[in-house]
Amino acid sequence: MSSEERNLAGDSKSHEEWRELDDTLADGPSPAEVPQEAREWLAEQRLMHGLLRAVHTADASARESRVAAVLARIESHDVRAHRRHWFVVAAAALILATLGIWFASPPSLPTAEAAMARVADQLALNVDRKFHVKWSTAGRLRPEKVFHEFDLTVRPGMRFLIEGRFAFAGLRVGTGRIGCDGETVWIEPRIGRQRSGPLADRERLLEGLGDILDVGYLDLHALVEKMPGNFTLRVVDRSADSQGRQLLHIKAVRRTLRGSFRLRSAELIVDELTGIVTHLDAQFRLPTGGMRHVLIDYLGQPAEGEVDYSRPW
Amino acid sequence: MEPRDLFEILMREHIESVRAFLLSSVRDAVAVEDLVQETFLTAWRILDRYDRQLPFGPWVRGISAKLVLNHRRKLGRNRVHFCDEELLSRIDDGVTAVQRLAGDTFDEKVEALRSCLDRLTGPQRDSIRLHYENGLHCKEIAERLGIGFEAVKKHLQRGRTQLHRCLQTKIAAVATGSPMGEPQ
Repeated sequence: MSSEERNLAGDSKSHEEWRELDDTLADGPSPAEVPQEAREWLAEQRLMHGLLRAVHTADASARESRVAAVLARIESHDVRAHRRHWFVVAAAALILATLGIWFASPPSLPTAEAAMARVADQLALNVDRKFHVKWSTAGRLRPEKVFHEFDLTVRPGMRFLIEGRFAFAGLRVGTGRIGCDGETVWIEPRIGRQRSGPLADRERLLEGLGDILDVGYLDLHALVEKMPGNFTLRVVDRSADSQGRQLLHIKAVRRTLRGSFRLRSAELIVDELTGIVTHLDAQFRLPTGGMRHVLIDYLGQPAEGEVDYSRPW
Repeated sequence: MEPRDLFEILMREHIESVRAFLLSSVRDAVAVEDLVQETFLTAWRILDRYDRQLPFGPWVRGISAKLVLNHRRKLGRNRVHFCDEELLSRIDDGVTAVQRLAGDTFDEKVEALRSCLDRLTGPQRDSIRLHYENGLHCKEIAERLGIGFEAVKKHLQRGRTQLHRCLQTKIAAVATGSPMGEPQ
């Protein structure tokens, strides 16, 4: 008997008590736990079990089929992700209008989806953008009531500055400023107490301001993660403005009304040359069940350094 | 090179080692095929998290390990062999060691195992061949060889231990640059 065989015999003796822990050779449930001292032996057994199974089922054509199957799934996943991407981008475009993360674009925009692709390309553009925003009741069956009307300047990184007229708790109308430098949210009403606090506390700080920030879209990442991505995009018209710029009119309609996503439908006007969304008309559903009509017009790009998002006091 | 082309190369290089890793823990061969696909699909989805300074094999098998643990949680202990992170990590170390063997592909590397199999003798060799080559259950092997069920299990386990030692010797020989890489 060689020394290796003697060692093996000795080892095997000590492995007797672990035999039942090897569940590769019998049906039934595998052990719930394995003692530490048996783990090395068990790992060896399992490794060899896996290698022996692999060796005895190795087949070149099977391997090619395996690779082809994975590639097909990747292809299919990419196509689906591509579609989801358009829906997400479309919705993001609508909402990012309010955030001012805005978009330049290549020269042609053949379809709504292509237009939104350019939106995606510019998603991280680190510049200030200014908009005029009007929040009102949906205004279809009753007279339109404007809740908030303000100028919004935004820059990626949760920096925003709102100046205008707000309806506190939907009743009292006041004017003032709300801002955030990416870390601290502050509110400076024309009449009343100034407040500030960490960004995470914005809901508490802005309590009473209702839906100005309540749509949850100031956090871009959270927004994108939550996006159901089920919008249908359609180019509904093309036109030219007074300066001869070609405009693309895109309608985005949510495919399903299930779920809690708040943006229901929207119409955008996109400058075909620059890819900038110049106008947005959107319908949001509030958590309370009501609807809000949001109109956003792009006012332009302030000069670099002109906007100060920090707390003024 | 496009990421997809690069990924395909990496996948071709590692798909068999991933499969062997999964075969060590999942009973059902069909489930193994599903998990192989799921592993690479997941790897593709999160490819941006892969640090290209590190070897791809352990990273992708790490994904497999997580899928196996999920699979075990979902299907229970009847369908998946005992495993936890530590045991799977030990098995993965073994697969990584096998990758050091000579050969361009995993199939070529595990050729070493075939030569180890040829070195087995007696009931160990018969049991291993009948079980893995012919797909016979221990009870059937026992009948075929005219020995007891427990004896077959012993032969299979001892045979695997022998094979593991043989393979380890070959891996060590490659590491030390021995020309033959043969066990002494």
